[in-house]
Amino acid sequence: MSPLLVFIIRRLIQYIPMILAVIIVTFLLVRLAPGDPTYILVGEVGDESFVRAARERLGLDKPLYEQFVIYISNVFRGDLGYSYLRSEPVAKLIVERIPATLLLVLTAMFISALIGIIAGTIAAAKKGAADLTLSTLSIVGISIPYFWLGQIILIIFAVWLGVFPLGGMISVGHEYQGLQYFIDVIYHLTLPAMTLAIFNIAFTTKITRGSVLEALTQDYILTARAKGIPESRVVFRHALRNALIPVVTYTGFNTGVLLVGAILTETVFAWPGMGSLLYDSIRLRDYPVVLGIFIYGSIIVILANLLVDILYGILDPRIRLR
Amino acid sequence: MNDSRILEISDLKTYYYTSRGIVRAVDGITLDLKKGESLAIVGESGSGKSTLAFSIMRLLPDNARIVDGSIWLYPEKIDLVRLSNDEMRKVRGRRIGMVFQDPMTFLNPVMKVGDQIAEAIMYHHGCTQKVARKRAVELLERLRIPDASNVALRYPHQLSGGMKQRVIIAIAISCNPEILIADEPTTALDVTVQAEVLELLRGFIHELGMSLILVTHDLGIVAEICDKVAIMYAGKIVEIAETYSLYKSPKHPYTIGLLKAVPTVHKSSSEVGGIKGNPPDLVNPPAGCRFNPRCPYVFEKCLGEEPPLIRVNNDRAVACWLMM
Amino acid sequence: MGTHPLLKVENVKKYFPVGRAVFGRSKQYVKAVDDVSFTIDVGGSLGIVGESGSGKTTLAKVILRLLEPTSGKVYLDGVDLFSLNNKELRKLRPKMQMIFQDPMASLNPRRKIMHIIGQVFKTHTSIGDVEIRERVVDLLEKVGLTPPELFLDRYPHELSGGQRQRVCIARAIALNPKLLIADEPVSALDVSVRGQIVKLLLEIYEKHIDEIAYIVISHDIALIKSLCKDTLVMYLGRVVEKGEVRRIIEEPLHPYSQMLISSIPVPDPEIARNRKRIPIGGEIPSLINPPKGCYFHPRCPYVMDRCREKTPSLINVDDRLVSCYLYSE
Repeated sequence: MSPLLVFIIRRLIQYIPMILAVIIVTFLLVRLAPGDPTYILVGEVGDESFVRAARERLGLDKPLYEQFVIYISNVFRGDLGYSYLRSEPVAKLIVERIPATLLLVLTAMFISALIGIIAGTIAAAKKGAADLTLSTLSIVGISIPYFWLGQIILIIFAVWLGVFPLGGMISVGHEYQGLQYFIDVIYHLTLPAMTLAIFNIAFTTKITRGSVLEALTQDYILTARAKGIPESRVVFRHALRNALIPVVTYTGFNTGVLLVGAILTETVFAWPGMGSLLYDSIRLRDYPVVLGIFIYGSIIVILANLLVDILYGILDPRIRLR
Repeated sequence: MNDSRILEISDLKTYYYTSRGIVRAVDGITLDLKKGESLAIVGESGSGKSTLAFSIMRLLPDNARIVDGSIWLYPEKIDLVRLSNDEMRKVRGRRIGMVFQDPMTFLNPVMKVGDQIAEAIMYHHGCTQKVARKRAVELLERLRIPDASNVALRYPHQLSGGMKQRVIIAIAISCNPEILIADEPTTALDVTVQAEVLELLRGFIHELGMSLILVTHDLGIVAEICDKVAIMYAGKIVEIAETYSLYKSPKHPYTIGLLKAVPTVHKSSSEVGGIKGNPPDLVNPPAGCRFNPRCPYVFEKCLGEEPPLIRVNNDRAVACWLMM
Repeated sequence: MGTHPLLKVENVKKYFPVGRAVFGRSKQYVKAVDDVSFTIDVGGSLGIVGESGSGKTTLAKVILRLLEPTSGKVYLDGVDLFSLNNKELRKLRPKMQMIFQDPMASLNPRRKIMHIIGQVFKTHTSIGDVEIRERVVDLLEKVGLTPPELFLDRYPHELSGGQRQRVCIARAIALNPKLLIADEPVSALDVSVRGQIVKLLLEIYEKHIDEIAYIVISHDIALIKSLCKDTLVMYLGRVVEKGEVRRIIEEPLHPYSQMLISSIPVPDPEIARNRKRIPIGGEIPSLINPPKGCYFHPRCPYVMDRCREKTPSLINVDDRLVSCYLYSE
């Protein structure tokens, strides 16, 4: 087996207890939160026996620990249960929504890495006015909450200027195919991706700036400068290459934050992803869906971290994957 | 004789601007270097020897500035102090190469060593990466690295200290510079490895006709490879002389003390002396001769007036009132 | 003087495990110190010279039990150090002292000099504050920090490197140690200051010659020569030669000693450029994967077949001990 494969398998085994912990904690958190799904199903005024019947059907009459044992054993059989409200398997509901969320999150990630790394490097290398401007902007970007920013962007670009749609992922009423479909999705994606990316751009800029500044004080930079190569090459090839390692770490850690941001962003822009599904499900106490999304979410975060570990090995030859 | 001059430093002053005040690290240095000559700049920490070396390369930290003086590069007689950044970049690596102290930290950890050597060649000779890489391997071979083509593909952490230092040397000489500046090139190495690296340095300097400026605190290394020695103390040159005569009859009290301060295998322990006191604070150097608080021969004049560097004979200049 | 052994080191080994033992695979060891023995009489001094990886500092730390030994015995004035429990060891600490390379790192930056040295008396004696102060003043005078009153209330960072090393020396000799180990005592200092500290160390040694055993560790055999009579030459954890420093410098027997001595730069161009050089090859191998047989054989110009097979033991040659087949039948 190749060392990389061994490494991946070993890591995945290490992640199993983590996923288990996620399931336990989310199960308890969701259940300890106030509210009872039965009333949402049957209405506030349903009569006692009707409510009891509904409870029995959903298994909500059993003690909490028993419910938990049933849930866990189902999860390990790959069964996430049925949605209380939509009478569809939870897994199916979620899987349908994953591509939209991934599209949004990955686009935001890509944009923020690209812009953040370039802006951070320029801020570190140029110093002076460029640095001040970029650093100020990044502090502003970090401080703005997603939902507020989303609404402002929506008002400016969709309501006032009308250059982008108000929400959704595709234009309703058109049956676009191929390239046209692609363009339509991009058109709808622009505002939510921008909203989601802004915080990340700001944060990546800040991290990259600090990391490049640090790298520029290292001795090997002197060696590079003493060669007489252009300063841009010193900065990008020598300083940035070494500075990327902490930036990648941050990006990995940040997948979780980004998923949370996606919930808010999707809700504001009516983006048909896991985020808006989660928002609705929490509001309506649809426990199986909420739990299912948490489990899928944590698996995504874990995979992102695994990817970061592998990237480490590529970026830094001193690290041997173990 | 003057035609063979390759570098001339005149009245160079480099200051650091710190929160404690202005540090006059290099405070009026005048020197020249001939073609093929090996010049040692010897001093302790804080003497300004490294600042002098980095001033020539114009690779000073942000808080340091060359405030006065010139560094003429021959035969065109261009003043490096006044070159634009772009023009200075063409001098670095191409005409003046630099070897640094610590092989552990002066190589880029995430770049293959062969590529680090090839980089300068590509830029200065405008050749393709393939050609430059081939040349890098040749350089490693010349520096007696076994299995050079394989070593070129490794990363710094995969090499031993002595190997890394040879890579640093290969980078410095990759474009056949006329001048090589070596800042404590063997301080971080083990004694037996140091001897081999020095041997190599000496070898190709003769072979390629390079001029060498060796910056060091170690008078032993100097005796092995240099023709001329400049002794620096607190930002000034206190004595400059041809190597043999300097060791045979040092004139400045500091030079005398320095030669006595080092235990050597050929001296008995009773001969080990030393210099009383400590190197001065360059924010507030002593008035008059900067060595006066530590000098065993100090007299009135030393306290009031700074002695100029005066030529005492053909191959020696000393800055000491005892010599006047 | 010089009658009975004060320090006796017998077959001391220190192995560090490397890598983790996964699935029952046997552990690998780095043999940092591999079977070292020597004795030092009262008033005796011994140098330990070696390059990086020679194990010289590890050896010192094991002797002082700053590191736990893998095996072997060390007796200080008849006491078996390795059999002491922590409490007994603590009581003996002031009698075995070490001076380190970097004086800044071994002094508490937040304490004044008075406190740093006074602490030794507070911990190990029951004398009162007034007397402690007198003792500290005495010590500062002894190590040349005069007038002492000027230094009592200073912090380490307010002193120069040489002065800090003097403080370390004062602290080390505060309670008349029987064993004093100086590990690269001048390497971190400016050249012009080194001579002062060498002189001071010699003075201290002379003053305590009736009660002390003295070890100096350095990569620089010239320094050892000015401080010690005898020396060990170590290579990759093993002793390759032992004898009088002067004799080893004049006529090194082990090929590694020869190479080491011919490598030292001599601050005299006449000698430096005309002396005979031992051809130097290769570098110090890694201890993780050392060569078989004599560790020096890959670099040795006189290598023979059996050098590659079996490690030569230390044998008496003239006035010395050497571990090399060139000198055995």
